[in-house]
Amino acid sequence: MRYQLRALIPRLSRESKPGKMRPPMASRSSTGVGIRRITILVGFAVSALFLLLAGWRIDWTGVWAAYAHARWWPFVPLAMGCYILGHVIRGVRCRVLVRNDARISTLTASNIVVVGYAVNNLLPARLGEFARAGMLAERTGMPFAQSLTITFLERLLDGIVMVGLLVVAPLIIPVHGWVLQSVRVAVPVFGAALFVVLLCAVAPYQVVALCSRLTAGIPSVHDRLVRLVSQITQGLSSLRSLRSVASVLALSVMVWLAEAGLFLFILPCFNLAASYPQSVVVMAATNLGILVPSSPGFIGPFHYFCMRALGTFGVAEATAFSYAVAVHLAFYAPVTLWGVVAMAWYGVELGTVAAMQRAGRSLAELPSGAHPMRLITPLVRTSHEPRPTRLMRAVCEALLPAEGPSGSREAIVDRVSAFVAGQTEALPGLLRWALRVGLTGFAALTFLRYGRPFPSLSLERRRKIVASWAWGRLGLARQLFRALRSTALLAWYEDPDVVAAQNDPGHVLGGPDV
Amino acid sequence: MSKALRGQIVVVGSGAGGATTACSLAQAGFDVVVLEEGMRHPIESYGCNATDGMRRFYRNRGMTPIVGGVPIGYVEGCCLGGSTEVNCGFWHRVPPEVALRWRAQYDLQDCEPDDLEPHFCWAEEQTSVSPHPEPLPASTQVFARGIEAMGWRYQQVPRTARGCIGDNTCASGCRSGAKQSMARTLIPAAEAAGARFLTGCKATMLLRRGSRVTGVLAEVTHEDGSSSLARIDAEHVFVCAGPTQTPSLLRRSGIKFHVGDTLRIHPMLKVAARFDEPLDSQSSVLPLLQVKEFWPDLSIGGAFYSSGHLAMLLSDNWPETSQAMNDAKSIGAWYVAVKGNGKGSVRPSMTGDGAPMIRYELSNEDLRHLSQGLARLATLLLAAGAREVFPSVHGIPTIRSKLDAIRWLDDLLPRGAVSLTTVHAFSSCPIGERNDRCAADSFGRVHGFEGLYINDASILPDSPGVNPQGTVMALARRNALHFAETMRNG
Ligand SMILES: Cc1cc2nc3c(=O)[nH]c(=O)nc-3n(C[C@H](O)[C@H](O)[C@H](O)COP(=O)(O)OP(=O)(O)OC[C@H]3O[C@@H](n4cnc5c(N)ncnc54)[C@H](O)[C@@H]3O)c2cc1C
Repeated sequence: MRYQLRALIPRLSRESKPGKMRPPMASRSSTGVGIRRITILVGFAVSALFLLLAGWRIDWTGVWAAYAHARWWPFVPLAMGCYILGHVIRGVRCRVLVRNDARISTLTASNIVVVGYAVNNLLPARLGEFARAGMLAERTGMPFAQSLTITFLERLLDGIVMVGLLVVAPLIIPVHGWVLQSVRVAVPVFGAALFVVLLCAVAPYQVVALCSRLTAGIPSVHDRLVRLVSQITQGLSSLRSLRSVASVLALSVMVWLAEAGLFLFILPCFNLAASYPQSVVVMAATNLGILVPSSPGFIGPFHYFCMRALGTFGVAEATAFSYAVAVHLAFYAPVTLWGVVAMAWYGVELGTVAAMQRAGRSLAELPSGAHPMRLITPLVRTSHEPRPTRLMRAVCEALLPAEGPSGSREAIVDRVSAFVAGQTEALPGLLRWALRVGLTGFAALTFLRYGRPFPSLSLERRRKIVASWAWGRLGLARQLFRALRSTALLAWYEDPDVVAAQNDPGHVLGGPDV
Repeated sequence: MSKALRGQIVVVGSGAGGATTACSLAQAGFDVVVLEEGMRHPIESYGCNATDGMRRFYRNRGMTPIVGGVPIGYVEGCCLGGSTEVNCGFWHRVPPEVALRWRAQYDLQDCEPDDLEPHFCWAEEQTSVSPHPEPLPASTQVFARGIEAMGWRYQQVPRTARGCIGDNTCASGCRSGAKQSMARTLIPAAEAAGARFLTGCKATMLLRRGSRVTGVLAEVTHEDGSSSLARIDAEHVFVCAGPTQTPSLLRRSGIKFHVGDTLRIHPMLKVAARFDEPLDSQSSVLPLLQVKEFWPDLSIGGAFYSSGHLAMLLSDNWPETSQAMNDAKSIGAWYVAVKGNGKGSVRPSMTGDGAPMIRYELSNEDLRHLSQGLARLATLLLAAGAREVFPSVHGIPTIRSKLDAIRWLDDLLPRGAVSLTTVHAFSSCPIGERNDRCAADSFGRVHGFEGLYINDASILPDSPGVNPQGTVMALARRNALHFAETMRNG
């Protein structure tokens, strides 16, 4: 089935009022349905198996006793609060991950995340991941594959943080047995995934070129593969900035540290000592465990791995099982409820997901006359003028002549620093990085020398410092300032106010007092 | 028309090489689509100030430095018409001895002056090459005074700017439309012959099946500002993306044989000079003469001038020289350019968007010629009556006497202190029959590939030693006609 070009590019709703997703009509393939049915059946079987393993030879009277003596208040609400906080932080992280392509609010992003979790809790085969990607695509206008890549990236980040926590945990508390072994398996798996993801993020052209070259002989496969890979690399574009990488990693750690609260606050319900490191280990092991495909809500694997992980700290099986059931309920109920409300609000219809996925597959002719030109994929681009940092503005101000057209110097400095920021951003990648690193070094050294950030120093002092770098004896320092000084001076003397003042015979503009 | 002639041709780039190729092939009856990464700008937006011009017309906003032991500032155009929209239009034919050298060293066929004559004539007619009308501007007159005082050979260089009104907007597009850039000449002619120009369309990769190139992958910008990745099929692809982008595109596509290994440039050292008399350089055309006495090792000529450009030039010694900004009206700018026999290369970066990394290592000979050139230019300007000469060399703020100037005939300028620039780059994919040093045959067909041609400044076998646009256009015309002829003969 072929769609019109416009139909392929979802409207960029970008924070427009919530509306219904309207999936294009698509036919179902019988093989797809068959495979999905088998997946669902296997999922339920796995759940049953793990429940059996968890309940096998358990002392049920011990379980009832644990519940009879459990103290719920105020621990359960606290636990749920932590879990919900984790989802809000997930929303912030999602916002950061799509920042290059779209702007969404934290509330929308959190709703998207929670809808994914709710669907996973209600439907089998991790359909929630698709629902989440579909809703992200609809809310942002990004292609579906790109949204799915972002969802995958969030999962990968979660995995990496959990493995990281399990690697660090033995340094704080003793961790034994299978938990440690699972780390040995998880590290290479997540390491390999991370490598592929980073490769796609930092060398997108190389990856697309490789795929294109491998399939150039089969145009139909070629276009689909290139489309998919381009969308994947676009989805990972946020990883190209060190600042974004640092912030998504920090947010991921925060997500899990908050979520560990869920595991922490249920411990005292069963008269268990509330140990934060212990809850972190139990949480990490449980979450790695539920990667096993299972029934909706991860029933079975969740209980089994949670209980076994707590068991490694010497907790009796019956108590550990009771604990696992309670944690699962606190994990399941609030998010499912929130997700269902969000779905109702946004009008998400379950089942749109696969249709959206298929819709993205068709190719369209580009309306450009007779020349054979085929559209492979829309590219989402946000072009915005880079804004100068405080440091950049302070440096520019110190480079410029002290005298300016009366009254308008500040405004000209603003324009000059905006121009310099745009120019330095336009430098080819490696040089841009070198300049950034150099400027950071400059800021750090001046801070160490003067005990205050460079922008807080007086203009006079700044001018002296900048002069000693830009026109000093050290060649490297001069090179660092070369682009800055020449673009700043160019912009100053091309500025309309300065040009007007220059044409005024009485005005003197030259001469810095450096 | 035969079936072959109806074959579809994609031309990547619409600069001197691309527009010539497109126009020649469209007029020969081929179905031509030109993909141009930059945008089409209306003439009303031409002639803006330097800062807006950089944003509008230049690649990376004019921030494409060449890295190496001595970093060199380099700019090239990125708009419909390519660098011809922002250049000064100085016109030279390739000197006969250079063409002979290309024959001898690269086995370049059909490139003797007689072979190229009709192609130069055609290009000169299309771009109305002519001398600047009298009276010559003050900056040219003081320059002539200096050259005559030194008794050196020189010429007034004709330009592609018949009817130039001297409003000094060459570097951000000629507002008056006098400059016969590609957007004013060959592009309308190509469109009239049926060629289609897709602007905002960046070729990211060449598609090939084995050794046959079948089209390109391109990022296309639509009218509403959205963009898409598209596949454009073609029977023949002419890559004319300029001296840095052509090798980068080829290498990104896995085509590497002698591609991007031999970039050459004309390194330039600029100086400003303050006179007692007003020159009004900021409101007149740049000095139009070139000193030929020391060619081919070095050329001396006039540089583009505005107060922003003057500030950049003075910025190497700003604490000492900035006062000169108050006399901007009595100052002019000149350059020393050397033939350039250092080694350069172009490599697409492995990361990010694959933008090219351009390298050039200034040779000792380059530096010696630049030092001697500074000595000669400064002497010339002082002989013409300049009170101070400001070279763009850190630590040498001013030269006030001929004795100070001639020191650089023997001494070498300190490498780490010179600020060099260039606007002439070429030879990154040399053509010729010598398989051991050329990327393509004498007519631009890339060695080892079917349906792939290169036809821009990158094909010059080595440095022409003169402003290159004329040579680029003549060779591009010759190659396009050769292609059409070959197709016609089956
Ligand atoms: C400021 C300046 C002044 C100059 N002055 C003179 C002078 O006075 N006399 C002289 O003879 N020469 C001069 N030159 C040099 C001359 O203009 C160039 O040598 C000549 O234009 C080179 O032609 P070209 O076709 O190789 O490249 P260009 O003219 O630069 O054209 C290349 C075109 O390809 C496009 N392109 C690049 N990559 C892609 C891609 N991937 N997809 C689609 N499009 C792409 C670019 O946007 C550009 O439009 C000057 C150059 C500059 C920059």
